[in-house]
Amino acid sequence: MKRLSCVALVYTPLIQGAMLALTSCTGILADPSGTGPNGAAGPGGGIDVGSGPLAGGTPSAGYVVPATSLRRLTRREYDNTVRDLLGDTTAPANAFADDPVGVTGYETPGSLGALEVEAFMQAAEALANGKPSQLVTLVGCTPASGAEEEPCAVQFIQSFGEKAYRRPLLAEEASDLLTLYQEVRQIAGVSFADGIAAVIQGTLQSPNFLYHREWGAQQPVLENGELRLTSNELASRLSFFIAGTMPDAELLKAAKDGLLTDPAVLEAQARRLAGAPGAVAESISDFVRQWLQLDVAHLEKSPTAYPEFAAVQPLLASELGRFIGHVVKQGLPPSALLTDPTVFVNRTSAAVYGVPVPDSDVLVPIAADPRQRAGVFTQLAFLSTHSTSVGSHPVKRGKVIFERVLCGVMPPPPPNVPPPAAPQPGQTTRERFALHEENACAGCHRSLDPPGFALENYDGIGRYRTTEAGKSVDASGALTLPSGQQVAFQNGVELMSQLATSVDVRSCLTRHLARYGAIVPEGSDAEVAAELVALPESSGSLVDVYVSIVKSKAFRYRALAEGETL
Amino acid sequence: MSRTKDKYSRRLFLQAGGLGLGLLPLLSDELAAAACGGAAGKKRLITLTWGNGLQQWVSGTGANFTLPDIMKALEPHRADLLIPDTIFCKTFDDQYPQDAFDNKAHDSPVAQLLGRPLVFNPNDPNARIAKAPSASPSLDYFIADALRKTNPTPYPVVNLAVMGKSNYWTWQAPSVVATPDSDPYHAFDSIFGGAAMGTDMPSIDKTRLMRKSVLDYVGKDLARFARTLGTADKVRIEAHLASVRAIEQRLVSGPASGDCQVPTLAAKFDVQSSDNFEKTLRAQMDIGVAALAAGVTQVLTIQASNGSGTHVNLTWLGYQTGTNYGHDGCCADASSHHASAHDNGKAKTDIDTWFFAQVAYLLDKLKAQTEGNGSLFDSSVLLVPNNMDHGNNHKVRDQPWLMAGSAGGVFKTGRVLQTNNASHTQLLTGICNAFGVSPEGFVDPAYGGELPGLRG
Repeated sequence: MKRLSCVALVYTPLIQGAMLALTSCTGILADPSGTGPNGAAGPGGGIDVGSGPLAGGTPSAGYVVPATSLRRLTRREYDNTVRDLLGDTTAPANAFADDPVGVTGYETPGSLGALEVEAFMQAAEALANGKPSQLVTLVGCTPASGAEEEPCAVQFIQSFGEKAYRRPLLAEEASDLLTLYQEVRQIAGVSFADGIAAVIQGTLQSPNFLYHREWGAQQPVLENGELRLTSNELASRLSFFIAGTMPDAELLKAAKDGLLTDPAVLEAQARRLAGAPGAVAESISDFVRQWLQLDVAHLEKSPTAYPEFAAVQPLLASELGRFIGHVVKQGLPPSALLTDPTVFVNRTSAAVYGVPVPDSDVLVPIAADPRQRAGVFTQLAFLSTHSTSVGSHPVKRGKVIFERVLCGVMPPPPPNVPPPAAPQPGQTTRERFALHEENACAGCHRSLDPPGFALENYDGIGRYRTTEAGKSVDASGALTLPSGQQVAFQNGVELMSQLATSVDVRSCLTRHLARYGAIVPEGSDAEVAAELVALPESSGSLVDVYVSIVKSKAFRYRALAEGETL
Repeated sequence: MSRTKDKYSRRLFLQAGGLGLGLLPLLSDELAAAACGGAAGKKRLITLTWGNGLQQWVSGTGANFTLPDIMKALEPHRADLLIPDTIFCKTFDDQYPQDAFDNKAHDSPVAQLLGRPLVFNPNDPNARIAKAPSASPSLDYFIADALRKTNPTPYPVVNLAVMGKSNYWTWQAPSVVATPDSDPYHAFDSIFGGAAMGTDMPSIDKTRLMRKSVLDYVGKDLARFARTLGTADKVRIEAHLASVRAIEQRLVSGPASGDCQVPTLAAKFDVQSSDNFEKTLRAQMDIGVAALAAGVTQVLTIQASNGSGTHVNLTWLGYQTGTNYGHDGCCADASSHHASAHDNGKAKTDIDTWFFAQVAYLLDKLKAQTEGNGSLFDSSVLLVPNNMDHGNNHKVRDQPWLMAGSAGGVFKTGRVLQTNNASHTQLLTGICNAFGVSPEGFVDPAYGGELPGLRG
């Protein structure tokens, strides 16, 4: 563990005379070995990272799994699930409130208040009533007479309910859904189709659909004081992690047969699901979007400074998705995220990248000059997100790399520091931030700024530049990584090529994957990562690393929550 | 959506609530109570939230006070103002003590309307303020829950926002954030709507009855689901269930009937754009006041963005995106409300001035709504909390809160009340008492009882 001390300059403009006060702040770069502060065994302490494969994620893996609170389907999971359950592609979750970032640092649907409950009701009604022409396919039987309707409904309740709840229905659940069907059929003007629609509505508003807790007849087992997830729970966790949606028929069958508590079966199913590159790429794209905090839909750029940005902005999300898909399909390692010069452009965005303009409205892959582009950190989504509306911003860019790629910890900046000097004619962005090197904030900014300065060859929307304000861009710098490795670079491409091979980045990426996929809070991620980086696949492809999460103990076990009963 | 009718007929109101005309004979008593004006004299709590502190504050005490320039729009209402000078969110300070810098108060709106500290483990290095759960509902939901026992309304709270974003100020139940509705078009349809259900009465009846059956199943399933859950999760599922029950309640009671004034909404605009911030806030205030007048609710909350407003650019005030008036190393966006607060310059003066003009607009609306021999305002109290002293010091001490209205003659207005940084919970206690609602269980009595002097 390294401590980076700095002294922050506090400026209190409220007090006449501009009182300057000194106080200290401490930036901490987490050592990938997992050793805690001051050398004490903190999170991850006691785990021998270099001692070879661990026992495949059993309670003996050496750490205590955290309790996790009940999770609801994210908006993305809801949309994907109703697509696979009902064939609906209207993305009804667009009407739901945004999923806030939870203790994992990743989107976690919050509590369900009145507004959300109403939105779920409206979505369920629209979904159930919207597809009368597909009813026969959905129901699976066609009643030839009034007498055949109820048996058909019974059959539908069982088959649909099992898919929607991601486990077989309990007898009382099936009975209650049948009662719902029967009640509704008593209402004047209600048809068989309406009765089926009511069952669908009830199912889609049920907590068994909306929340991840697929207990049913299978009960989790306590092993050494920790809760081993059921086969049904594991099937869902696996499917939502790798494919972002409900389990498919094969996975549901394996879960129903109780096979997934066998780690080998679980891994085989994970590999099977990951064999569909489209789904896993979409899932990894969702991870990368959240990992690098790429909020491309809400960016606002000055139309004066960047008149071309409005046309490019709608492409940014798909550009990232296509790039991730490329890494996945080629079987490339995670380092490709930091090195691959391929960019996906169309006739509009090619000019921004400075690559040959394709005769295509659709994004196509083009190998950019490898001296200019190297992975996601040199692509438009990252560069334009972590900038201001009028220019590049080394601190914003550097902060993401420091915190999210190197797992460095930095306290929030004090509120009363003076603003950076206003831009001066003839001054580069780096020169504007030069004060960071000179005043008392240098201690912190010496860690934050260099990775940002490395990307100074890219302007506020990601265009490559060698000059700014009539001067040559200086993108050189040096950085000490958590492991102690010294990195010196002339530009962003050089920095990325060194980060790509660093154990620090590999460890940090795994920690973030654990938070995203194994749903562990930030404080527990180092332990999971330590367990996983010892696995052989940790040096494999991006998909290998991604899939390895399912082998972690945290993926398959959790603590019993306070008050929870079996 | 464009709704241009000034008045809604009784028939359309009935449709909006899903009530077929065929059911009228069964409901005459309830309908009489819920008719426009039927809520006359009932106390109303209105909360308008705004963050980032204020640049200027009142001077003087008692009736002899001077409003600062940013609050001049309130001059016509000075006889109705009650200004506590000043308020201290001590519950928050006890968990996040003011250090060399601040109380990290941009995150504190989650605590401002709570009577107790957040459930926070100081030993957890990963604890985040926004994720520390509440131990109770916020003031608005707490009072609403008590009021519904004697005067059930279709909406316990009408909770609206402009560009709402976590961290919200409101909690529906312990640990359950109450997400406000940031879309006035959606809010309008929910409260006064019925457009989605059309005017085909048999079809409306069918929809309503089916909905009731479905919700009945969902309620039963939620209760079953909650059985084995841990304590915290159980609370969340119970809140989910309460929301389902509230919808069921609306199906049987329906919104108000009669010739209620309903707002006119402009042609649909982008409610998530800073350009439309004022238009959206005005629309939300219009809808909220109409809902109060119609007796749809007794409690209205409007959250003008969240505690920091990092996502709100001051473009509607003429500041172009890209204007940089903040320390952009700290602020998410240099053109935001948040950044203007750190800068504490002209942009902050402008946004503060603008905000109090909106408060004046709301007061005008409440006073214009006649009710009995007076106005809707007579039975109301407006609470305008703030989450910090100044936007650039993050202190939860010296907070500039504002009240207006006497809550039916309880509070003595037209003055500045010297409080010497009283705990905000004392003010919340006073409001509970004004509504005849015991604050027991809501506020921690260790922070003191009702703020002395509120009643004069």
